[in-house]
Amino acid sequence: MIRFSQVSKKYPNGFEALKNLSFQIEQGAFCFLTGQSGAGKSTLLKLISLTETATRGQVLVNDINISRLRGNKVAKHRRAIGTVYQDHKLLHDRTVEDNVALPLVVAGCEYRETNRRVRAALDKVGLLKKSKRYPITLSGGEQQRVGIARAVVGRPDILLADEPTGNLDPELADEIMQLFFEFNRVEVTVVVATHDYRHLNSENTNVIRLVEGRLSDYPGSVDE
Amino acid sequence: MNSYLLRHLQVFLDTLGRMWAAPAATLLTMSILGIALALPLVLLKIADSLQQVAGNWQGKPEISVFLSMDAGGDLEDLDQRAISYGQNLLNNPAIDDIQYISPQQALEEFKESSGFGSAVDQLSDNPLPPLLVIYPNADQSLEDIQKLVQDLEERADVDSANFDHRWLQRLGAIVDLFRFAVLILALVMSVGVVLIVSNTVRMSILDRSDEIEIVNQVGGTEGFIRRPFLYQGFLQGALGGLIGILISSAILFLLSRPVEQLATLYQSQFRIGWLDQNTALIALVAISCLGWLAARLTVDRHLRSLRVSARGK
Repeated sequence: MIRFSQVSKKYPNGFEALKNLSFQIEQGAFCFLTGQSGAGKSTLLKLISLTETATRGQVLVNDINISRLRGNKVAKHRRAIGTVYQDHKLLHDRTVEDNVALPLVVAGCEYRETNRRVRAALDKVGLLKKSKRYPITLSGGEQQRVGIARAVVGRPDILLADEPTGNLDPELADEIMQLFFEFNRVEVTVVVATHDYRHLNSENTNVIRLVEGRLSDYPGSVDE
Repeated sequence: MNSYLLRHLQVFLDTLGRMWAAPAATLLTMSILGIALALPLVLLKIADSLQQVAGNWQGKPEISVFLSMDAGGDLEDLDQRAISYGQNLLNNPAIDDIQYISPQQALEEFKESSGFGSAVDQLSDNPLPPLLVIYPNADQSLEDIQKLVQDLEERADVDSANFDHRWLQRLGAIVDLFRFAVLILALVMSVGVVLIVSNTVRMSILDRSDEIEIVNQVGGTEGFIRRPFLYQGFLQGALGGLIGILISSAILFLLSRPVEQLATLYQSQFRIGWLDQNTALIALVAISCLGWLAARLTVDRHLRSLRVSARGK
């Protein structure tokens, strides 16, 4: 469960990205995060993964006030969260399987277990045959799927995705989104920030709409 | 194998691989470290050797007593008189042993070592006085010996008594000063080593900043991020240290023959010798630790910048 209570985020340059935000996402929910560029979608995700901390208010993840975490507890918190980025953030000097293995490697997972879970994750996103390739030799959609495999290989409770389909054509975007629905079916809380309005009306999903750092209407339907 | 150890081994090998992949840069850095280590090592060795010389002579003090007996043309008689004079002195409990050097012996020795052989032959008369070299007992303090010298000097038949310790004291003081200078040099060089290593580690961090960011994002601890850079600093220090030991051994080897020749001219047993194992080992450990420390300081600086963004400052 993710709970924001009266959260504000002001960047050092004075820009106030989020203003007094309160909402709750239940464990196992599928939540779209939408709004124009600069509305605060990325900042919201960064607060959950503790890449940024709130200036005011509390962010609770599984009943833990994460802004109090320090040192190795920050690392541990991030291991419980998988993140997918619009620009993939893959390491281009490592193979696909080494990229996917990274969260397990940093967690000190045993070698054989790592291998097994990397293959399972790559199989899930349909890239098992390309595990020895380098990311640069893959298409944009494939690279994004490597990023997804890396995000889920550690079996996180929460999966965050920041514009995961932003650079993809509609067909590939649908495939990617389908993957997120599948992970959600096994009780993973999924939060997807997106511009892509075609998916917002999917069944069993919530929508958080941000307008200039404030909640527009939640839980609301989408009329665009 | 334990997966933690396996991971360490992997990082270690990976770090070696990265150093190997840029041989020119790696060799350059390590040579600079080696030179920074070699200079104080060589000077320290010279200081040690000098001190050993001073120490050897200090350990066995000797008093030169020049007798004022007149040969009167009869050298054998003079020798007899000098020897019995010396035996008389042996009754003094402060004196351990006495060696007699006759004017004839002294002249021969002078002829050999001075190079004035033919000039000496021109002398019609031996101008050198008979000499008693007195070795005080080992339990005598410096003050006791000085008192003994005074007593000897006041005797009849004694022209002068020299206890040549002042130059030894001076040599000792010079060696101490020299060692102190070497120590300061070593400290300055240590700062240099830290700066060099932290610079190369900083470059590596910049080079791998994407990787650091991603590892940080997927839950890598600071220890995990630090590890390869600590290995890098440590390995650079260790390999630079080995090069430094090689360089200083080479310098000592080159110096050894000329120093031996020079020492022979002064009738001295002074030799520089090799680096002793303990010094080399301590230097190696010290420079490796300095490398590690430099890496740690540098990578911590970078990690702090990652942490600051997490706190939203």
